[in-house]
Amino acid sequence: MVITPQLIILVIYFILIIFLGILAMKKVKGSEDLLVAGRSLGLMYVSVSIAAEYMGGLGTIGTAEVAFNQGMGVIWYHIASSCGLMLFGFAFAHYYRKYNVITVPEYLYYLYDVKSWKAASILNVIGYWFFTIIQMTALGSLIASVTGFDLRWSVLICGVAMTVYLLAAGMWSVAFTSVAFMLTIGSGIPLAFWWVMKHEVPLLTNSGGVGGFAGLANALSGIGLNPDHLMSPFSLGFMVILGYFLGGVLGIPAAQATINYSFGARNWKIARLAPVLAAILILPLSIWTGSMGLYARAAELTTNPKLALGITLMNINPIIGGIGIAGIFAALISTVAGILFACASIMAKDVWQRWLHPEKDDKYLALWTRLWILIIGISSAFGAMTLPKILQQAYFVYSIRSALMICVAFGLWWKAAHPDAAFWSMIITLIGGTMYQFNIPINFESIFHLHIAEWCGLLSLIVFVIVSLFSKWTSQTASELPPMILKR
Amino acid sequence: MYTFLVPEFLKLDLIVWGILIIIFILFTYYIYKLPANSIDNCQAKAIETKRKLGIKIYKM
Repeated sequence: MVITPQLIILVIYFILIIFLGILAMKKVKGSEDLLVAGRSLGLMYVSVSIAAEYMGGLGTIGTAEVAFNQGMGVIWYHIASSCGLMLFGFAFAHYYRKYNVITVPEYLYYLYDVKSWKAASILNVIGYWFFTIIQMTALGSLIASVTGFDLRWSVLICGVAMTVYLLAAGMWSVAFTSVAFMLTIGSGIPLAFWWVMKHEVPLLTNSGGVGGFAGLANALSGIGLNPDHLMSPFSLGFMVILGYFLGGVLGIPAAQATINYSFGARNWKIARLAPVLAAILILPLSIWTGSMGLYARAAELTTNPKLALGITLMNINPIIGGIGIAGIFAALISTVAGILFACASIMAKDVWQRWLHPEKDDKYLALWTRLWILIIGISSAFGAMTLPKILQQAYFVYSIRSALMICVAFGLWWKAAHPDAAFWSMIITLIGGTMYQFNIPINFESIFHLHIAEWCGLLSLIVFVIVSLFSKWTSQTASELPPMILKR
Repeated sequence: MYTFLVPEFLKLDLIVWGILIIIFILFTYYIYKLPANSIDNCQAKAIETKRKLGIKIYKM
């Protein structure tokens, strides 16, 4: 292993983050402090936590990869995500807040019935568990590329560190560290972008000694590419942009990992405002990461688009590159923490306490919230080390959140929205999604040309509307909670 | 040969960013004008249907 400035910066940053997470420990007295930070978070904590969680591997390394291949049309990814966050703030946050929910499945109980709540709980836990494994793999890959460590050990170290810091104070840990994450993302990545544009682009052979986007355009032109197309906001085509919008709009308003910080807001006004502020915070990210992806293409640093951002940062001034890598690291780590925490919240609160042990008290829940963070964190780290790649495809279960969004939206605004429709739309979306992802019995994608999230959204919409129209509401329609909860 | 270039994607992104900031300012003004109890007026249709049918909604 070679000790580089990038590695030193990363190690210091890693220790600082874990220290901040543990520092939040004194804030925790009961389960509500762990799960929703005692519902006392202000506008800054909620908005930066939402933004930091949302800016993960897809928003950084993924956008640089798309820009490397297809140009700066990738800016629509964050524009669409911002629209999803704004939609949540405008139209959803206060409904969740009115019932003081801790998890999204819990809200499905209020809207529908017990079976919808249980189905949503199980699907969320499975989906987020797999997604934690995927994101831990991405985080471990970044560490491995910077440190030269073995990938499996990098994944394990990151997984254990994440688990330890979440064990300390749950949502408080995430809120505390999110401020540091946001500062790192918001300073490290634009600083690296500025350095690349000002100092690295003029050094390219074909740039004509000019910096900025003009130099980048010259360099792209010099290697036979069309800079006008690559720098057009429409370089990806209409269908991809539509896919981004469907992903943002269907993906965010019922995504526990992104919106649970809004549940921890001090009041409903902050719960509504914070996602709108988060939308502003995430918007410019693809300008910075996408431009560095294009630079990697112009400089011919790699032929592998997935490495575009990492290789750019490893090839510039080591201090600036190190700070930039810390920014990417912050984006990845905040997403892993958010997803792991969301998974553990639903597992501990909905499945473990309310469903399986409804008679137990708050102390028991606090203990088991921590135990589930431990179980999910460590098992995900080992899963990321050992799972074969084919199993990683199971992350499509995460696309089920579009079915959740359909259930929540119809429950809010359609009086005929029926509990059976909510249940069956989730179940059929899961079955239909599995068939689509694994080509059972035929390759649906070659016929429909839809992203898995779009397919799941469409399927749940159709099932929900049809079942609602053919089901009648009666006073017996919605089943109630188990007897142990009714007594309490 | 380009010597000065502000690409279209940058203009578009900055315009969208400006719009978002204006929306946030207006939304903040709107939210803080609302009375604190206005959240009570938010009625989800599915919950209202349950209420009309006499199905009690228990606090979880």
